[in-house]
Amino acid sequence: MSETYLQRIARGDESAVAACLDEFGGTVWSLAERYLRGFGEDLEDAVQDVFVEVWRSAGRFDPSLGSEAAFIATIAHRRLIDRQRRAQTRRAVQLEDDRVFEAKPLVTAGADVHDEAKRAAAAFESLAHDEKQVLWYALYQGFSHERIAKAIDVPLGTVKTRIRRGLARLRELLGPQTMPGKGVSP
Amino acid sequence: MSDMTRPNPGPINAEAQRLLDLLADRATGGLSAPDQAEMEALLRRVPPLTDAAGRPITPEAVDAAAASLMIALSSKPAPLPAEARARLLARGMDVVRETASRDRKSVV
Repeated sequence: MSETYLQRIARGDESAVAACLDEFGGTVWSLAERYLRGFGEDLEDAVQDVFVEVWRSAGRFDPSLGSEAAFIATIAHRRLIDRQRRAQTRRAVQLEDDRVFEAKPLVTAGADVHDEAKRAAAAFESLAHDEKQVLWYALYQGFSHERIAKAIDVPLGTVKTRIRRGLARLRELLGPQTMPGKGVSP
Repeated sequence: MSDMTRPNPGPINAEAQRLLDLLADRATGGLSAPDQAEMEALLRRVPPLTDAAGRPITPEAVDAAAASLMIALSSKPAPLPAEARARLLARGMDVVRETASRDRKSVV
């Protein structure tokens, strides 16, 4: 099994930094665009913040326990959500809830997408509509639970219940390969 | 009660249920400082949980499910803007050198 980008970075291989950016940079950038839209945040600064943590945490990544993509996505999600919260604390942010979930969201797991994404997309499609809707807002658009409640006009408790139920179902459908234990989370 | 809340064996108690709720909230929207503190306390107190199939339910497992979906939903992104890539690359080189230097010092 060949060495991953993060393993190479962890042992000081500088060439792996460029490869890691080329493989995952676009994903993190597009995530930052969606999550921070309307918050007045500097996208490049946000993406750098994510990658600095990724590179510094590279030594903690264990490929036997989960994918690099999941490791990086977890860091990105957490960092970008933190940035949203700080932005809202600094100033009153007026956000437009104009991104409307449709029955066929932007799941793009085509033939060129690796297995992990394909399996997750298939599992997602099997969820109930109301579970897909809230997970799409939370994980694709980066909406807070409160903002989802406002966007779809349901109580906050209902949003949380649907998210918890949908995520539990998703995890069960994805099975052991996404039960990576301590390796995947930074 | 969701599927995640069916440990094997036996029913789940209120503390375990609360822990599962906080883990899902953390993976999808982040936690406030009080919720984070509560989750950490529960992780220390609540016995290890498993799902209906007997697999452990850990914070990492819940994060991984959310991360897999994020990847699926974002699988055809545009490449990084070239100028941003160049600056990120330079910063990355610095971080790798700093980390390597720190690791060498800690070995010595």
